[in-house]
Amino acid sequence: MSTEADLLDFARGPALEAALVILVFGMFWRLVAVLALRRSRDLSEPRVRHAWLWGVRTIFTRMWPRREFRPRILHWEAVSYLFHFALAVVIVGLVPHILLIRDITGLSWPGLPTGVITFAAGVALISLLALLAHRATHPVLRRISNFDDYFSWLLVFAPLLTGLMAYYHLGGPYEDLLAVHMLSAELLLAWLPFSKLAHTVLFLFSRGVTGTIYSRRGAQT
Amino acid sequence: MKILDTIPIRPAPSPAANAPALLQEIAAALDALLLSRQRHCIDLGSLPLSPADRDMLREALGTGEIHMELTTLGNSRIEETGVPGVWWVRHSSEDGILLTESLEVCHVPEIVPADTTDIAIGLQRLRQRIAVRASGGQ
Amino acid sequence: MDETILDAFRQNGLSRRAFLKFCAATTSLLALPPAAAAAMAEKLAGTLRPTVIYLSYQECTGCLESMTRSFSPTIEHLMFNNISLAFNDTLQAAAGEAAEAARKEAMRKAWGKYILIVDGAVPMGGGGAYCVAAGQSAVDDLRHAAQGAAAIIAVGTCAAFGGVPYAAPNPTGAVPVSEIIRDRPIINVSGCPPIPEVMTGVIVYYLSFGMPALDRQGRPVAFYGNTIHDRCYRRPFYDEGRFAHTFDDEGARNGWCLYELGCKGPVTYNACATLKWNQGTSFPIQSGHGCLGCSEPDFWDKGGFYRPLPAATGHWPRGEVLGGAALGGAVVGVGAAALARSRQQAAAAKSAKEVSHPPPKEDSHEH
Repeated sequence: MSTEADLLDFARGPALEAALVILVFGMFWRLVAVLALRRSRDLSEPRVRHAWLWGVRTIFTRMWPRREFRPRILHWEAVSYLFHFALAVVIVGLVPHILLIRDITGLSWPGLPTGVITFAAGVALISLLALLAHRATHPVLRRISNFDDYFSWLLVFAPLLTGLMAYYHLGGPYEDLLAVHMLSAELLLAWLPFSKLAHTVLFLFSRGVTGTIYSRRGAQT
Repeated sequence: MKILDTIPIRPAPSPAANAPALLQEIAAALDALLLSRQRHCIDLGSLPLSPADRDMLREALGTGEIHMELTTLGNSRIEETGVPGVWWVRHSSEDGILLTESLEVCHVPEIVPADTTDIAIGLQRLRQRIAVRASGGQ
Repeated sequence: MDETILDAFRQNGLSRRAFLKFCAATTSLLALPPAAAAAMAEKLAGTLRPTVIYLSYQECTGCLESMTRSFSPTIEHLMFNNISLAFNDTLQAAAGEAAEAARKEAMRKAWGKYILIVDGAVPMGGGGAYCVAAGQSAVDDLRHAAQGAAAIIAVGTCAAFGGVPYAAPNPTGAVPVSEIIRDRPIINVSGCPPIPEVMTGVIVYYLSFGMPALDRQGRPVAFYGNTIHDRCYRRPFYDEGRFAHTFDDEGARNGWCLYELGCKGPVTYNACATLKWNQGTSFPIQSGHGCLGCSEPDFWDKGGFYRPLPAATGHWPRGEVLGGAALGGAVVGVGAAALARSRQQAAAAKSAKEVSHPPPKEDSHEH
C-alpha cells in the first residue's frame, strides 16, 4: 500500500545512490592508497630501456598462460574466460543496463536481444558454479581461499540469478524480483572496492608494476 | 489523411495457431452432447485468434440452415454452422460494437426459446388487447 | 425497492433474452468461463437490486466521465436495471437540501446493505477542512457512510492509493480510503481513470458472485492480474531488442517498444492492453506513448514519466555527488598511503639497524 516504502522505489532511489557513492569513494581510496605507496629505489643497472613499456606489454601477455603451465591450468583458465566474457555480455548488452549507465554517465550504445542475454546469463551462472566447485575441491586453491572469495562469489552470483528470475517471473511478482535484483547488484557495487573484486580495476596496475620491475631486471615476464 | 497514410503499418504475421485445437474441442463437445446431452460454450473473445484461425474455423464448420437475428440491447446474430449442433453466436451492443462472440454446442442456444415468465407477461398483454377490442375500443 | 434485477429488466420492457445477453457479455468481459454466464443469470435473477451511494471527494470527476462511457455493460443498464443509484451529486437532478435529504433517506432504508462507491482521496489536513460538503468534512462523511455499507468500491487511483492529491508534497494531507476505513471489505479499482468496463464489470461481478479475488493492492485479479508489458502487442520488439529512442525516430514510426522512452508497462497491472479504451479502439501504447503506470500507487512520484524504468528515480546532481565521492576517496587514500609510508619507514629503519639489507616489499596484488 502507498504508506509502506515501496521496495522498488528504494532500490531505484536511495539504495542506488548510496551504492554508487560507496563504489566511487572506495575505488578512489583503494587506487590512490596503492599508487601513493613508497617504492624502494632499484639501484641495479636497468637491463632494458623504457621498462614501463614492457610493463604495459605484460598486462596483455599475462592474459594467457605461458606454455609451461598450460597442461595444468588451461581448462580452468578457459572456464574463467567463459565466465568473464558471458558476464560482460550481460552487463553491457542488456538494454535496461545500458539505460541505467546512460542515466548516470550519459554514455550509450546499442543493446542485444534478450535471447542472447539470457543465454549469456545462463553460461555465466553455470561457469560460476563450476568455478566454485573447483575452488572448493582443489587442495591448494581451497587453502588460499577465504571469506572474501566466497562472499564475492555470492555477490556476483546473486544479481545474475535474480535477474533471470525477474525476466522469467519466477518466484514472485516482477516488481519485487526486479527490486531484489537491483538491491543485490547495488550490494555488489558497494562491496567491490573493498574486496578481491577490486581486481576489475587494480589488475591493470598490479600487472603493469610487476612487468616493469621484472623486465628492468632482465627477466621474462 | 495523406500524412497518416504514409505511416507504415506492419500487421504481425498470423499463422493459424489455435483453430486446430478449437476444432478438436468442438468435436469432443459434440460427443458429449450426443452421449449425455451436455451443453458446451467456447468464448472466442478470450482466445487470441488470428485472421487465419478464423478462416480455418469458418471453412471447417461451414454454413448451416438457420440464421437468426435477435434485436434486444442491440443486435445479435445466431447462426447454425454446417455442423448441426454447433452455433456461432455474436452479441453486439446498441452502438453496433461486438460484445462477445462464442461457439455454442447444443440443440438450441438457451437464449432462443421463449421464457415462461415472458410468455405469461405476453399473454397478459394479449388478453388486455382482446378485452379492449371486445369492449369496442380500437 | 424489493424488485430483483430480472424484474427490473422486465419493468423496462426487456425480455429474459436481453438479460441472458447481458450476462453473456459481462461474463466474457470478466474473462470468466462461459459456463459462469448461466450461474450469473441464475444469481442475478434472484438478487434484489442493491442501493448504490456514490460519493466524490478530492477528485477531478474523470473517473465518472470514464464510467459513463462504458459500453459493456453500459452505465444505463447498470443504473436502470442492476443497481439503484440513490446518490451521485454529478448525475442526479436534485441539488442542495433535496439531494442531501434523498441521500439520507436512501442510506437509512438500505442501512448495512448498500454498496458505497468512493471516488477521490480524503484530505485529513486542517481537520478535514480542505473538502467539505453540506457542512460535513469528507473524512467524517466517509466514516459515517462506511458504517452502513456492505462493501466499498474505491474507484480511481485517488480513492484506492491517494493518487494526485497524495503526491508529494501532499499539501492537504490526502489519504486513500483504505487508511480511514479498516472494518469493511474494500475493492480497489485503480487507474487514472480506470477503464470504464472494469468499473461496471466489478460492480456486476460483486452482485453476482460477491467479493472478487483481490491482489495484494486490493484490486480484482480478473482485471489487474497481468502487467501491461506481458499482454502488450509490442512485447516481441522488446525481446528482439528493437526500441524507439525518441518519439519521432524510425523505431517510433515502426511501432517498436517504448521502454527507453519511459514506458512503465513492466511494473503496471491493468487491463489496458487487452480491453483497451473507447470501445476497444486503442490504448496509450498503441497510440505511440509509453504507459504512465497510472493504476499503481504513487505513480506521480516515481522519477518521471519519460525516465526509463531502470534509471534512478532521484533527481540528484550526478556529477557533483560522484565527483565529491571520488575526491573524498582520494583524500582518504592519500591518508592511508601516508600512514603506510610512515610504517614502511619505521620498519625499514628497524631492519636496517639489525641487518644492512633494504627491506620494503613491492605492493603486488595480482600475479
